[in-house]
Amino acid sequence: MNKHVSIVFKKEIKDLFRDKRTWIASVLIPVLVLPLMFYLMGMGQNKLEKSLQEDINISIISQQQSDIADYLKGAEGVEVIEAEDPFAALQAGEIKVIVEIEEDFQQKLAKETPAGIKLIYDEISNESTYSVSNVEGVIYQYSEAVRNQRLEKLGIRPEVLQPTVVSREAYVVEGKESQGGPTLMIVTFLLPFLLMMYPVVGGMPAAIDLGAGEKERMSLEPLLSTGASRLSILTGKYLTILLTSVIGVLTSITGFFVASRISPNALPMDIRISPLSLVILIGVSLSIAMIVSGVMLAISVFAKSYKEAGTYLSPLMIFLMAPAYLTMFMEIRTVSTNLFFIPLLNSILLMKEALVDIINPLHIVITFGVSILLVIAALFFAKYMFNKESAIFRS
Amino acid sequence: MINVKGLKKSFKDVEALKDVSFNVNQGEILGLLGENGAGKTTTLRILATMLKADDGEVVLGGINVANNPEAVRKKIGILFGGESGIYDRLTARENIEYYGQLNDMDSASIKDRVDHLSRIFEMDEYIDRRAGKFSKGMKQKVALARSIVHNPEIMLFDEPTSGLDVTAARVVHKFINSCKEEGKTVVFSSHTMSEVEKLCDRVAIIHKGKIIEIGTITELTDKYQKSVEELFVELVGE
Ligand SMILES: Nc1ncnc2c1ncn2[C@@H]1O[C@H](COP(=O)(O)OP(=O)(O)O)[C@@H](O)[C@H]1O
Ligand SMILES: [Mg+2]
Repeated sequence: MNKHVSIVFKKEIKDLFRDKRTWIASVLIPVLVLPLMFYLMGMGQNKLEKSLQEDINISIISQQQSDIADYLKGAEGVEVIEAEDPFAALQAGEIKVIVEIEEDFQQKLAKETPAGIKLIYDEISNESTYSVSNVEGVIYQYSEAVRNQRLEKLGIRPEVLQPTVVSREAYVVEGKESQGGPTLMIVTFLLPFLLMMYPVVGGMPAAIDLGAGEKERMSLEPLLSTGASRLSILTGKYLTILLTSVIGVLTSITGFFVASRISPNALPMDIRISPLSLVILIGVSLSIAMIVSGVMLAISVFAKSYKEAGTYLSPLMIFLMAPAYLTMFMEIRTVSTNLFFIPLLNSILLMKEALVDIINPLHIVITFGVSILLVIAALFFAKYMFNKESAIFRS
Repeated sequence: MINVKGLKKSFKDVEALKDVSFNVNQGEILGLLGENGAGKTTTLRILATMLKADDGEVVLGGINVANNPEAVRKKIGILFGGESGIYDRLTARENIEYYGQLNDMDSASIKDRVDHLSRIFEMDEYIDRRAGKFSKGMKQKVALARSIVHNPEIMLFDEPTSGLDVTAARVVHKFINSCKEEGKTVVFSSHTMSEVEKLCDRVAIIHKGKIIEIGTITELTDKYQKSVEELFVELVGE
C-alpha cells in the first residue's frame, strides 16, 4: 500500500514538473503577481505624490476685485492660471481646481458675515480630487489671518477661543512596537487572502491533470487495472496535489516579501509576527490546502475533460475569496466566538487575530476542530468519487 | 481459466447485461462479437474489476473477482479502446516501468523486462524518448508493452483496433497472436467479423446484454450451415 502510494506520488511529481504549466501556475505566477502589482501601484502613487507636492494650478472665477483673489495669487502651494474657459481647462487637466468667489464677497467680508467660496473639481481625476483639500487648506490660512485680525480688533487673545489641544497616539503594549495603522490593515487583509487563495491557485492545474486529465487521456482505466489499490492511487494523487498547493502558498509568500522590498511604504515588512502566530498561520494555510486538495481531486475525477474540470473548479476561488472580503472591515477585537464555527471564515479570522498577536485558545481550538472535520470530509468526498462507477465512467 | 456465470449489470434504467455466461480455457482466445451497445465493454470492465456486477460471478485464474480484485488485477493486462492512454511527458521506458512498479515487480526484473519488450516491439530507437511526439503506432506499441510488463496470464482487449490505421492495427493483431503463442488466455471484443475470424479460437456473440451463441468458428458454421458473418447478421437481426 505505502509503496504504491509513493510510486504514484513520484510519477505524478515527475510528470507534473516536466510541464511548463505547473511551473507557471505554482511557481511563477505566485512569485510575480504581488511584486508586479505593488510595483505598478507604487509607480502611480509616486507620480500622484509628486504632482501633489508641486504648486496646484487653479483658476479664479470672480466678478470683482477681492482680497481672497489677491491672497491666492501670492500664496504658496497654488498657482493661479488665467484661463479663457476654466471648465474646459479643468477637464483638460490644465488646472486642478476652480475657485469661484461669491459676487458680494468683499461686501460680506466688510460686514463680517460669512462670505462664500466654491471649490469646483473634476471627480474623474484623482489629482483634482486630492487637490481640493490642499486648496481648502490655503483658503483656511487666509481665514485664520482674517479671524486673528478681527479678534485683535475686539481685544481678545486668539488662545481664549481654543479651550483644548487634542493629540492622538496608538496604544502599544509595553515591549512591543507600533505596527502602523492603515498599513496594518493592508497586511491583515492581504496575507490571509493569499494564504486562502494560493492553495487553490497552486493546486488546481495538478488537480485537473491528475483526475480529468487521466480520463481525457484514456489512462485512468489502465491505471486502475494495475495491482495498486484505488486507495493508494488516490492517496498518491492527493499528496501530489497537496504538495503543489503548498508550493503555491510558499511561492506567494515569497512574492509577498519581494513586494514589500519593492514597495516598503505600501507593504511594510516590519510587522512583528510571534513564533506562535507564525505556527497558527502555517497551520491554517496547511489545513486550507488539505481541504481544497481533496475537494479539487474529487471534482476533477468527476469531470470528463480538462475543460469541464476547469469550469467546475474556477468557482472554488470565489468561494475562498468571499470570507476574506466579508471580514475585511470586521472588528477583530470584539468578533463573536460563534463566527469561528463557520468554515473558511474562521480560518481568515484566526489568521487576522494571529497577525495582530491576539491568541485566543478557544478560537484556535474551534477553528482547527472545524478544519479537521472538513479535511476528513474532503478526503471522504474524494474517496467516494474515486470509487463511484458512474463518476469514473461518466460519459 | 476464466469462468463467467450469470452476469447482470444495470446503469440506472439501462439494463446493459441481462445474462452473460461463458468459460475460457487456458491458452485460448475468445472473441466477444457484438454491435455497439451490446455490452462488450461492460462485460470486460467487470472482468477487469473496474465495475461490480449486480449479480453473477466471475472467477479468473481461480480467484473470485468480487473477493480479491487486487490479486486478480496482478494476473491481467488490459488494453481498452484504440486510445493508447500513455503519458506524454514520460519516456516510453518510464511509462512501462510505472506499470511494472504498480504490479509489484522489483527494479531488476523491470529493467530486464523493458529491455526485452523494447527489443521484440522494435522500440529501441525511441525507448528513452518522451512519448509526446510519438506517432500513433509508436504509442500503441508502448501501450501494448505496458499492458504485459508484468507478464499477466490473462489479457483483456476491448476493441483494441478501433480508431487505428491499418499498420497500427496490424501491430495489435500480431501482438494478440503472440499472446496465444506464449500460452496466455485472451478475451477480446470486436464488432468486426473479419478480425474475430482471423484471431479467435472461439466466438461468443453478444446481443442486448445476452450471449446468444458461443462456439468455435467451425462449430458455428456446421451448426447453421452459414458463414459466421451471415449468422451474425441473422442472429442480431436488423
Ligand atoms: N457508465 C455507463 N453509464 C450508463 N450507461 C452505460 C454506461 N456504460 C454503458 N452503458 C450502457 O450500457 C449498454 C452497453 O454498453 P457497452 O458495454 O459499452 O456496449 P459495447 O461496448 O458493446 O458497445 C449501452 O446501452 C450503454 O449505453
Ligand atoms: Mg464498447
